[in-house]
Amino acid sequence: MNATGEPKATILVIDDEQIVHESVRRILEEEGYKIDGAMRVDQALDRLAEHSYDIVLTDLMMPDRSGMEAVQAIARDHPLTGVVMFTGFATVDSAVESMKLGALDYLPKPFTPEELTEVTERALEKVRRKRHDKEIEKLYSDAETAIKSSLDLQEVLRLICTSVASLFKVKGASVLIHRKKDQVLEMASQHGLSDEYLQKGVLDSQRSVSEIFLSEHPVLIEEVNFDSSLHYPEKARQEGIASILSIPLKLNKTILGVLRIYSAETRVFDDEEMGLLMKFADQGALALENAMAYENVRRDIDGLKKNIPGPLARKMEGRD
Amino acid sequence: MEKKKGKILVLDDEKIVLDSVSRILEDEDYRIKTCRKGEEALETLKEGGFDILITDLKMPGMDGLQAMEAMLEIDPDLSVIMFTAYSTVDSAVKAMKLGAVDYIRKPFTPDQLTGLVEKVMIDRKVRLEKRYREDTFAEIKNAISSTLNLKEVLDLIVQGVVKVMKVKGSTLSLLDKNRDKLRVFAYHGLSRNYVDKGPLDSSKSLSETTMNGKQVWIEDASTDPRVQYPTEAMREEIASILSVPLIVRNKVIGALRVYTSEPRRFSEEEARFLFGFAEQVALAIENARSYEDVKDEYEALRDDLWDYFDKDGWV
Repeated sequence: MNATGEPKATILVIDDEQIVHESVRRILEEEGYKIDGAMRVDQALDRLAEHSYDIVLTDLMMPDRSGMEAVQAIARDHPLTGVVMFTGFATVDSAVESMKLGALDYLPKPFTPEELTEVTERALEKVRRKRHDKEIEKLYSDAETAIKSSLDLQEVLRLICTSVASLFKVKGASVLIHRKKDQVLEMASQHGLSDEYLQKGVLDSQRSVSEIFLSEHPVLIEEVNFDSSLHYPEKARQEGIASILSIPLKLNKTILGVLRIYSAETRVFDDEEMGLLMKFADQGALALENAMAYENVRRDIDGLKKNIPGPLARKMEGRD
Repeated sequence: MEKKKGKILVLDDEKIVLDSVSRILEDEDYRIKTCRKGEEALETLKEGGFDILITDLKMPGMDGLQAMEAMLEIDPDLSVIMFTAYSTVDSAVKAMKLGAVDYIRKPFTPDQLTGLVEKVMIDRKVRLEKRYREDTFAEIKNAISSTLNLKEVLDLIVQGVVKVMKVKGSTLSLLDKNRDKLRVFAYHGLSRNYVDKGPLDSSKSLSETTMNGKQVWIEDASTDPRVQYPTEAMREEIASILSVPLIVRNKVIGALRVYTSEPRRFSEEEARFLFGFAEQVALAIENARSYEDVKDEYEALRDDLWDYFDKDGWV
């Protein structure tokens, strides 16, 4: 157990020999894992149907069913659980076969405690990455669907900010729209920022994040560079912002505005995350364009309504 | 020259292995390139177009694992088969982790080799098609999101789905106001005659199932009782139909159908994909309709104003 008393991960061991269970348990419990055991494949599959495990360690040769069947069943029915095969009859054939079926690793018996721990940790790392990727994929697709399911400009703006903040688990996000007539960036919507911070005023697009308008690429500004790169560096520090990532919202060749992501601690976005962010920004820009087009027609309607002479307005109301 | 079934690179330090693999697979109409050194194989890979790499793991100089890793770096889509003869469990496990898809033990019979290569080619095709669908769908989605013109949106959808599913044709039908007839609003790859065959009664079984939010797969359109116009389908040379509902906020607004000219089974993955496609495009249709409505409202208002002023003889 670690300091919080939570196990590092839960592991199910399948083996028909009691002595193997004992030694695996001794080694891995010491490393902070929670261990469950099953003597037979059927019993193990029943357990898996009831509990969720992070890793399954299975023997190959057992009297009831082969460990190969366990690997196959887990890969099919519990894709977010990792399986490792260990065997006293290690062969190239069974090693390759088990991995083709979905095992993450293959460990010949006997093994040293270090070998077992290392293999377990590596497998756990893979499982975690897979789960994380899956979660992000789901969050992303929900976010994209959400921003496309509305034509209400304020709602689309709000959804862009909230989605991106929850997708990347950051402090906050905002959308700044580029106002062409006076070349300023105006905050159109935000999520997770304080009123105080918001009152800092508009940004001159020629100065602040001007890099974006030159390179059309994302710009990451870290705390050490706030003074040289931000309009209001002190405000950002007071707000507890450690870095700001700005991503251009591009439509064809023009820049509609900027999507900003505020992190409370220094946050590094890897290539994959950056790719996802750019994709989200592109979809966001399309959704914004559509919502703006809709909004414009609505505004035209309101404009016309203002100019309706009294008698006609009464006539139209009567007709409705 | 007849089109080859696939292009295969074979890497082994033993000439006799290279010769026998070449002979067996060339007889089966594969294009074969052989190399005896990892470095040489890396050079050869650069000519491009390879589907499969078959490599030994144990070789003098650059070993099979290193060669394979370097080659997957250049072409991540390459399907790798390894020879296992003197290889250790450890190196076989490493090769699988690096991305090898299968293995063959030396010595092998011609049937074992061709059987394995065929299987790997099929898996590869499935994998690449899945990616083709995802990539093409992303492009189509972008195009659809870039317009609020209803006609354009519908046309992009029917053209897009034909391209992405590689089918003969498609139709997109929307429910009328009373929600009892499906009318085709856009189609692609089908004749006007077929499309104009008549409205689809939403109480007929094919439509009914779609209206209940379920997908319908019809393998043989000429005999299936769920098809409302079997003769017309036969004349149009339609074999199979897959129909999925268009759903917005839990409400069915229409149906998207794809038609094939040969009987075709859609894999679960393909069917799920089409369902997801329909889900996403349904939102675009709804948005375009809302936009059209607000435009209409604007124009009606403008006309009313126009009439009002004109009547008074101001213009």
